[in-house]
Amino acid sequence: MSAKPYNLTYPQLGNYDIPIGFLVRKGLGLAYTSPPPMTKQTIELGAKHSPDYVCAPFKCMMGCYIEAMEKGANVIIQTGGTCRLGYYGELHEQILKDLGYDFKIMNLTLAQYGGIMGILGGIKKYAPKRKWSQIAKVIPTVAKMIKSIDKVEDYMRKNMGFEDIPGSFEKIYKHFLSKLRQAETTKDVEELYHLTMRSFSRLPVHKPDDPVRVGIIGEYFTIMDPFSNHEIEKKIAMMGAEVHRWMDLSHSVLSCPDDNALDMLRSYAKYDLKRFPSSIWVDSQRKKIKKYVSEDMGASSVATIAMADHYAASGFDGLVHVKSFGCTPEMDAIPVLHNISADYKIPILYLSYDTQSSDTGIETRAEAFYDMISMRKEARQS
Amino acid sequence: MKKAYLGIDIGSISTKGVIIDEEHNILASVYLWTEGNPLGASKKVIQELASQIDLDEWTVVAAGTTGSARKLVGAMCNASIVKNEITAHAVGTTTLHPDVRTILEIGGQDSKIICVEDGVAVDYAMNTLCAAGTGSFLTSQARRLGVDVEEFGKIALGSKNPTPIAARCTVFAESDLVHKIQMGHKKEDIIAGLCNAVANNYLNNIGKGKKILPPIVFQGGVSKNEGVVRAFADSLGEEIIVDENGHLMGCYGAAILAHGSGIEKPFSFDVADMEFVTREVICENCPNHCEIICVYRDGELIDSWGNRCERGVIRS
Repeated sequence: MSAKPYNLTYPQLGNYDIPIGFLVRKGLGLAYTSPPPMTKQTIELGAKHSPDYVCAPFKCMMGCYIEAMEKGANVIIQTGGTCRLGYYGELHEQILKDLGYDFKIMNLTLAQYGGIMGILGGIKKYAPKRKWSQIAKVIPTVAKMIKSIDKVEDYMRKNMGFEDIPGSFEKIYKHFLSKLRQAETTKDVEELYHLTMRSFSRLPVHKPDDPVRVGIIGEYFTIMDPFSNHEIEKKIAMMGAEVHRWMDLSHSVLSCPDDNALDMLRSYAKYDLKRFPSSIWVDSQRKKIKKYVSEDMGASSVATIAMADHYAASGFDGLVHVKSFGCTPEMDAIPVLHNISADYKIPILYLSYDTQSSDTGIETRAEAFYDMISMRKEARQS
Repeated sequence: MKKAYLGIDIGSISTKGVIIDEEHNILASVYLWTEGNPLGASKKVIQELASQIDLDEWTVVAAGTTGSARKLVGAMCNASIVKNEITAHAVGTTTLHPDVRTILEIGGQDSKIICVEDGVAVDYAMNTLCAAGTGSFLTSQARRLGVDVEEFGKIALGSKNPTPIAARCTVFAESDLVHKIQMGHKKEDIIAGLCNAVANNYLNNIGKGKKILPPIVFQGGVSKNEGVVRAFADSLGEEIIVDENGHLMGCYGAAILAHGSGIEKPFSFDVADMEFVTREVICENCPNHCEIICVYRDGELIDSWGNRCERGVIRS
């Protein structure tokens, strides 16, 4: 490692590079380089330097690391997880070292640091002169940023398909993101959030009383990254549907889904890094789907099943299951989804993503799915 | 003049077209090979359709397109509706067979299943990332065995002892097949085994988790193969209905959807004589390098698509 100052980077995942960059810059006081927005080139680069049978998120991350390092980053962040992802940090590091890159890796897994204090110490190592209080001070702003992004996107998914002026939601959303990048304080984020939601609520929409409702469920990375899932949510929403998605960073790492304060406290107290990112929601969700599963199959599989059950019971018109090709936890969830589909008579569209770049296949399937559930709804209503 | 509706289904292998009246009766129909030229094949279809009806009696007020080249041909014939082939097939088949519960379909490159309740599709599945067990697999194996694929069905029906062939994956099936040939299995047994493999592969993949209820309609190019029809009948223990117009269901559905859209757009059979040219433009605005297709009619840009964002918009 050269004596160059540290310059951190984290792979693209939706728009979460904004809060993560903020945490690094303002909290740790270090430089942060966002990988460029993912493109076909990112995937090609990632796939070229990855094992063939590894999942698409690994390849996306690989491409992001390479592109970010070309832009000047020299410390890559990897967070691990409860599936194969738990070993991805080591594998990324080895491959990138073999390629000749000069960098350090902040591999936030237990195997590296032994416990939460070890991990915090591991982060601190990069900013030795920084006080803990300086780091802690930015946490509320980071959390607010994440929650704002998630709430704004949630509102978009539910309403953009019914806009009167084409592109009106997208325009406000883009403005929101660019302003969020400039936010300095929690107050800035709060004001921006309220302004954005107010602008949204003023947009003319023609939403029926009983719109077509679609729930999106599936694997952690692919579901949260619109580039990886070929903007499946936007595609379906724009056909004229209210699209719901529970899985996001707010729900998976910030807030407990428990109903009462005591359970919530218990979940937070048990915040277990070994089961990241599922520790705060997996127990309460598993209780709700007892009739379908007794064990946690890892990663986001419990959330997939719990939310499928919830959406189906709420009378949704259809579900879309997204996963990267070969994702084992989500493949294990599919037979359970078949049961939910049969029990509630709700159609489920299964989409498996690899590194293909053509949109056509996904468009064809999404359009056929929307046609089917909307025609079915019409037939039922008449 | 009475109103008529035109539907074209442009698949990877074949192009199909129909003209229907307001009661959805078929007035004219054409089926021919695409031969890698969707625009040319569609022009030929339009010409032949025109020759089958009395143009003084009928006027086409709306056109619909479906199949993998639906967008391109839709731009060419000023279509009222451009629909995916799953919806088009569901609409076409449920119109002709209102009591159908399950539609099995195996085409040249894809396979799908549609479950129907009270004449409305309620669930479907389509193959992803893999073309195992589709028509093109049978065609390539027929070539290996030195048999015309059209003969496959008849030969398979002659077998008393079908050879078991691995059905999971085309690559495995092929090596299994070569092995069985070299072992000395009879040709008709191997062909019957292949037909069974196609049916079992379909049921284990596309059909997984779906309730296959009768009446069952089987369509797509592979439905013309009696060996596969028998394999499905044996596996499912149900009668398999193969409609003689099964290959027309996509374009028939597209024509019905064009009628149902309520959008009437002038359609002229003259498009068959016009010159349509496509040009591919690579957008250089970002590393996505979107491939944008521009369609020109007699030198004039009429449509373009393929860009992921507004930076790649090409306007006439």
